[in-house]
Amino acid sequence: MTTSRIRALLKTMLSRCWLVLSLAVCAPALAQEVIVNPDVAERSVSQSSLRAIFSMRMRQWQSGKPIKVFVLPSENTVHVSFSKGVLNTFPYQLKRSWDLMVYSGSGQAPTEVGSPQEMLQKVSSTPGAIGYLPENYLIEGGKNENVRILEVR
Amino acid sequence: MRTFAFWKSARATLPLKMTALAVMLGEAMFSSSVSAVDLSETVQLHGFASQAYVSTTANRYFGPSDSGSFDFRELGVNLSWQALPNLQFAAQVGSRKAGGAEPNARPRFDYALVDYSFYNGTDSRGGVRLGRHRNALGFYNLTRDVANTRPSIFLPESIYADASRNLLLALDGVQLYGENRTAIGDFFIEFGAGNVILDSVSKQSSKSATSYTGRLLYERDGGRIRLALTGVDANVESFQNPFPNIRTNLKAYLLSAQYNEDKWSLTGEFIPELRTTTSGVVFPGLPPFIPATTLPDIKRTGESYYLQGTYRISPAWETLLRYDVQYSDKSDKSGTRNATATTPAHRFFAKDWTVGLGWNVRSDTKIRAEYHRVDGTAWLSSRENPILMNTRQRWDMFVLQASYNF
Repeated sequence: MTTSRIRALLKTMLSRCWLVLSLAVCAPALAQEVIVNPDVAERSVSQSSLRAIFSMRMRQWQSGKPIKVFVLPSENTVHVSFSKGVLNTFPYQLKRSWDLMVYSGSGQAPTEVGSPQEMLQKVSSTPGAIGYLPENYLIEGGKNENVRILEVR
Repeated sequence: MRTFAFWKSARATLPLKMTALAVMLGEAMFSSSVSAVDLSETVQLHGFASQAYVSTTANRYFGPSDSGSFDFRELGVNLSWQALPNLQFAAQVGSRKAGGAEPNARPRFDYALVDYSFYNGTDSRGGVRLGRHRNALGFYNLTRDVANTRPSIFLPESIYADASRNLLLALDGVQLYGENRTAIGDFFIEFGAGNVILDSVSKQSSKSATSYTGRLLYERDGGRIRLALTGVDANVESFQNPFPNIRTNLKAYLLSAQYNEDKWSLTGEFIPELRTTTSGVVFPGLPPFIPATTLPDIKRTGESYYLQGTYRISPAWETLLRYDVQYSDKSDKSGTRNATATTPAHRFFAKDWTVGLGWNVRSDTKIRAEYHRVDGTAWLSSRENPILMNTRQRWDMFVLQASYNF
């Protein structure tokens, strides 16, 4: 309840900032949120580690528990803006990395889900899971389905 | 005016072959849209297929292309099992038909390995691959069999020569790897040692000796800038009784650079020096009853490079422009000093301008068209063009390819 109120406040502040300040100042605001299964001990992650996770190169949490990566289809607009805005890469670069893993035998591909709804369901029910959702999805969805937001440093 | 055999022979051979292609594509398009098959939480099944049509104005490339050829086809499936987060077993079986240069398309293991990462830190990782592993050479060697991972239907021949493809594809042995993520970018290193994989025909007359490959790769901003340095030292020994062993050594350094933007990519790769040394060579043409005569070592130093631009018009359409150059002997770029009565001067160089158009029918299905204008015959297969004097210096090529992967 309180977190959602803070979020709503932040949202209002951001939209006012949008009006007052230039585009360049507000543009870096994240449009997606990284979510993890509550059994993940990490509270925050660096951008380069996050990119390594979604490139399927980093396969375990600090506890040694396996990381299960969920993604939306490559052409999905949420995936595109997550790749560019949060990971600072391009969807075709992530795909190149997965192809490298899969066709040279050095790793595996992430699990693809069809919708943010399925993403939320899979991440909340899979131990060690990580995924992403459109910003405010958790607030607007009304209830937080047993996932935690991971802060990107 | 050069005319393509494609148009001449189209009426005769196309309907049947195109039907087969359409069926293959149809199956791909209407099958489930899941991008991989997860057999369980930790086991995945993937695969790929491609079929090309090649037409040349002269010379044979990937089949009897001078009259239009469907003899370029790639198929493969792989299975991986991530037993532990740091332990994976993986194997891929592939079959490749590449015209007269590789006619039997016998299935073989592309790789079969155990991957164990013995160090997993927050910013770095280190491990070892045991078994048959793919060589990390330049940007494209690791997945060169999978059409959808290539920038074009054919990789630039000057660097990714099909003639030395088997020699450089994989090694049976050990590969060490490491990765380190720093504030200025990510560093990757791979070093492999082992035996070259020979096909069943080559095995009858050759054996592989220990070979080495290594690559250092740097990536900045998730691959916006990519720089790589590759080194190769490959060895093969051939024995054809009663002749003594002939040892071929290939040594090369490869420099690679790439810049990636949302809409476009610019790639260049350069081999400043490729040294081939053949020792213990038997004087050619001697009848077997004459005692073998060996000549001094034959050394040749080549130079190769290409520059390639890709432009992604939309998620569905992309275009390619490339200039690819090879000199087999960099001290004789015109080939005139190396030319003999049976080998024309244009056998010692090749300059290839390529334009390409790609259509992503779906994220897993691609159709490509490519046009090459080539000056020189350096990378043509001598198995497909046995009488080199009959090859033509200037020739054009048109290629169509449908590819699918999951």
